[in-house]
Amino acid sequence: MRVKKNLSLHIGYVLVGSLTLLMLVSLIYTPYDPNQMFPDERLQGPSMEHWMGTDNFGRDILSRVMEGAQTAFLIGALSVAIGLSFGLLLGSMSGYFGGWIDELIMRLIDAMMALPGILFAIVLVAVFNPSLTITIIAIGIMSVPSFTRIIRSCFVQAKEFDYVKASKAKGATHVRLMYHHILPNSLSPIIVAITLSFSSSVLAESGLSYLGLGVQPPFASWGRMLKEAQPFIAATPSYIVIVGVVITCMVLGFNLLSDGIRDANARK
Amino acid sequence: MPMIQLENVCKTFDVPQQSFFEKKKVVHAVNGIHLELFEGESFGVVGESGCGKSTTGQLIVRLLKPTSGSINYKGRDIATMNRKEMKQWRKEVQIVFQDPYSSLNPRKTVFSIVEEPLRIHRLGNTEQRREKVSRVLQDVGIDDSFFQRYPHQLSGGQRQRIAIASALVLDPSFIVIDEGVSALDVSVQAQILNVLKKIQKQYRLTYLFISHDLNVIQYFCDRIAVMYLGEIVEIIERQNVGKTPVHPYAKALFSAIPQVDQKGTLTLLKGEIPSPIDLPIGCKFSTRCPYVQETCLHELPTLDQLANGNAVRCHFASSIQKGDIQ
Amino acid sequence: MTQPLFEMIDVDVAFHLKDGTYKALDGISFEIQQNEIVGIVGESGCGKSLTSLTMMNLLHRSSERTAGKMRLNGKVLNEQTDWHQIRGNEMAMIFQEPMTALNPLMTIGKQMTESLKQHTNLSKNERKEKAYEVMREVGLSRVETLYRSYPHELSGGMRQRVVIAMALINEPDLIIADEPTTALDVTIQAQILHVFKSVMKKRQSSLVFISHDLGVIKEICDRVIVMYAGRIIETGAVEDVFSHPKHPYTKGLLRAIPTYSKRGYPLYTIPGTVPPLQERKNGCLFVDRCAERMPQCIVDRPFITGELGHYASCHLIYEEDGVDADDSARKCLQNI
Repeated sequence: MRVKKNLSLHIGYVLVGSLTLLMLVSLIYTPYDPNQMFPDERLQGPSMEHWMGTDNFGRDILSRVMEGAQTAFLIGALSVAIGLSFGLLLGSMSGYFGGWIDELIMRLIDAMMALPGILFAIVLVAVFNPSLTITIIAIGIMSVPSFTRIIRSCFVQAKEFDYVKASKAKGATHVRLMYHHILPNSLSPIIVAITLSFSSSVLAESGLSYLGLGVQPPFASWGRMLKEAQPFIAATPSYIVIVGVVITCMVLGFNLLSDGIRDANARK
Repeated sequence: MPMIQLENVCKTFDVPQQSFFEKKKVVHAVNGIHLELFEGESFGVVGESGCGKSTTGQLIVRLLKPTSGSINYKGRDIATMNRKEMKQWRKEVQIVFQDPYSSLNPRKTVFSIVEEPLRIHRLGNTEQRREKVSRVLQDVGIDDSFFQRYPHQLSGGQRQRIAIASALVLDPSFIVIDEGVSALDVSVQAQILNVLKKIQKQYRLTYLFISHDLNVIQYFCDRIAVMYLGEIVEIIERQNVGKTPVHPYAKALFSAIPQVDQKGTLTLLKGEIPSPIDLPIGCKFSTRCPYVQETCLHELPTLDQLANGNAVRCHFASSIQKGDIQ
Repeated sequence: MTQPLFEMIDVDVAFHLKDGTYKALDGISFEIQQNEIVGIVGESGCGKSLTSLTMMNLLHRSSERTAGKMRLNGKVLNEQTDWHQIRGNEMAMIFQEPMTALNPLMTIGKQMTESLKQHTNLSKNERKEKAYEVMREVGLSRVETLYRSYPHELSGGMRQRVVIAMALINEPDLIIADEPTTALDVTIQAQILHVFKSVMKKRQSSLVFISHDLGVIKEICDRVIVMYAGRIIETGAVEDVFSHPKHPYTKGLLRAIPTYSKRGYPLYTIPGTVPPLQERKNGCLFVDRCAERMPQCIVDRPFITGELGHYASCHLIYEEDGVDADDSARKCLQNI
């Protein structure tokens, strides 16, 4: 991979890297307890004591943003894992075997895509009460179709390569062909899909939490913070701006990263 | 007994429908092939693009399944083999592809590419496998220092040697070489042809050698089948290789090869190969044949043996051979 | 001596790579006479396509002509030349892949008359007539229908005929064809070669035919230039070069071609591979693979030398003929 001149990759690295660092630090240290309230210091702007200010309960916003990063990364990683594993299973079968299996799986995916993702999540949450687990599952299932399609197209393309045919002629089993020959050569588009899906998961979580259907208190979540900040937009604009910027950085970071990776691979 | 026998083998592919109401179309890739291959020979299949020669090769190694007809290996129909027999048979029959750039997995080292077939069939322990790989690579002219290299670090000729080694490692008795030297430069092509000749003796191999290059075919093969639009139009027997064939298409094809060491008389064919979707009725070559008669347009000729040993699919083979028709 | 149609004199082309600048073409000199078919032959990476791109000034950004002169009809060609006037009008090029040489979204007629529109003042109808005429000349029938059709409706052979017709339409003095038949089947190749031959003869124009296939070159060309690792190593009339090759590389190539007559014998092989760009030194570049190498081959670059229009760059020739190297080099330069 050539990194030279690949600005998106660099910016993506920096943004994602610093947010990851923020999240890791929060595991062992936050400036204040994210849930500790300072009733005398409500809705303050940034200051030396509270770098990002405080919210309407007088909680330290920086600490809450840091804890929110944990939620964001957790949801991102787990929902991508769900999406990827189902996508891998369905996509590889669909692309490799073709025929009626392909037809069946693709129609299933079409059906899933016909349902707006956020609506599906709302239904799921409505049925099972909002919780972290349900949010992860809902977002994970939402990302299955895109993974399936990408992996399927990789497999359709790669199964025609001569080395796959040659190995087949030597008696290799389907599993071997799929996971020893085709998959390792389809990694780069899959990695791009993972980073893209990560950012959309973060966005989806923020959206759900904003609607009050996502992660429930006491876990801090960027989406809910946005919602909480909304009534005070005139009084303390810094609160909503800070949270908005953090979410933007995360999404932008992952998007740029995926663009950068794709370009780097294309130029190879 | 022939080693491999094809009986009336046909293969069609469905053409994806352009619209819902369109009639379903099929490509007739291979159209009723009869073929017998004998142990130890190099059998050449030659023809232009779309004549079905590669499909034939893939049918024989069962990368494709015939639409109808049967393929026998040492008297046994391969379609009726069970899993275990199939796995055993896969060891004996191998295929080497044209493009040395796509026939090797770019993410594997030379060693693991050549070792893979042994792993698939669970043969030997690590030490034995290593030894075997090293020996086979040596036979194709690659030394052990290449073990840890990746395909992109190798030249076209080296890649093709690796592809051959990975076919050889299972000690097969039959190898299909599908345009195995077509993508290579002349000097490299000569090296690979020599390697193939050498290992044929050493491993007692039978080859099905598919190529569009008649020079290579005539140098390399003992018997030659000429294909046109999914059919064999002539099988040139051992004693007639190098002589002018009889079938009008084969004649034109052989005369069209540019020669470096002699000047031949060129027969220019009119027109181009018809689409394999709408095949001509009667003789498939009738649309381009310089000798075409009324009969050719209605009746499909059969592949009949002539006095000189060749089997020819032409109504007027013997008259053409005698020079009665001009 | 009459003025040659095209001359290339001591041209170097350099590649700018990450790790430095390397000569990909090294001292290329040749000339093309009026009404002559010249073949350029060599294996992949020998610089034959690069030569054709240099002739048309179509070099990629990473490469550059660093030395030498080119002349067309006595006119010097350089950076100041109005190449738009020359390309397609005085010199035309035909590429290997007939599939990508045509724009799939434009009718054949529109593509054919495009260069007429640019270079002449003919009316629309005149252009159409002209296109019909050229299409018939290259052996296409039903030209009126063809004129209105799109490239995907044509077979490979027909497309290549259209591409040839496109190159011919402005009546250029010189056509450069880069592997024009490589993507085609043998029987179609034979048809296309026939077209080339008859058209060139009729029009009295010249053709540079680039191919890796020695058989094709022999079939169609009057004179041949053999290239190896960015240098011309042998040139002469086709019959001379093929029947009495002088350079060990040419000899080796001819012996390596499989033919029926070589059946039963192992083919001659040239050991080793072409030296990569980064490892090209001053001496003879074939030295590592040559069966007849001598000590001076490693250090001295052989001049191209010979007589009766058949030249080769090999130290063996001085030895054999007892020619004085300097004298012969001087003679050669005069000839050029």
